[in-house]
Amino acid sequence: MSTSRIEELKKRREMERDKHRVDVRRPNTQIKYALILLGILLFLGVLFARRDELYLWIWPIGILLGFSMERSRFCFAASLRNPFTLGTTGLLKAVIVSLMISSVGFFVLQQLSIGGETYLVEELPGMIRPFGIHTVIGGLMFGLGMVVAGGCASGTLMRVGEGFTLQIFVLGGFIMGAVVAGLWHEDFWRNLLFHGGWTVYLPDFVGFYPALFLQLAILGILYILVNQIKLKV
Amino acid sequence: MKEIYLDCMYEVCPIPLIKASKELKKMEIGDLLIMKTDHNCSITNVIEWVEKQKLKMDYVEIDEGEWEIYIEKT
Repeated sequence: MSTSRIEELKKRREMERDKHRVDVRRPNTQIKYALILLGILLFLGVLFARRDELYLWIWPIGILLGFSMERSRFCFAASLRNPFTLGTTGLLKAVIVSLMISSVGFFVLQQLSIGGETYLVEELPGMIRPFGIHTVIGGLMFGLGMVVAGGCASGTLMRVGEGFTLQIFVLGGFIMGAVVAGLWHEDFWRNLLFHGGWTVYLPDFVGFYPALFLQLAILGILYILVNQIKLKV
Repeated sequence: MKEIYLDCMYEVCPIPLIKASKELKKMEIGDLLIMKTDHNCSITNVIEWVEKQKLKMDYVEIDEGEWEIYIEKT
């Protein structure tokens, strides 16, 4: 990766920084903050668990998800934007793999929740909702917004937690949008756009195991295509 | 053998890299580019992009949540 000239530059920049630094950095300065954070998390965990026992499962999963997203610098916005702006596809491949894993996970969850012979698609885990013109409009709006704002929901939350100042404003926008459109005007949007959609649930057409196989095969083909393609940007 | 300093503080994801790629086009072979950023995604982006462009780079966390990226045009 590096070259001798880069190493030389690194050393020189470090020396220049040390000259201007007022306080000498002590090692492990963040331990204090980590303990405070752990205390807040434990307090919230107890608070959530008293409300609903389900949160006992969601709480650690959420923390681990946030931690792994921060460490891996995973970003859905970047995964879909980089192929067009930079011609790099590493994150897009990671998203395809994560979709494959979650397909298997949702397959197991849905199998467990069905139990009997008949099932209602709307009640299965995984938020299966009708698609229609509103899907296209929403996708375009979300896509434009996330590229301009520099992150989707999870990426923004992760970077706010990390201390990236700009996206605190993005989070403010999220909250405003969710409250105004999602909570106060939900019926208005539902009546305006949501009628006439079509709920597609693959197992209805081909059965459960073929549906899983089909989905994994399509994602596998997409992965190979993305891997093969040479984007020149 | 110039050194170019690029301040990308507070810029979101693709902007630092787009700035860097514009700057790198103007640079001569052997020149060094110093980028300063506080967006952690930029680093993954730059690493992947630099590898694709067959350039050389390294980065240092100079302060908590602030990085300097060094790229050599080869």
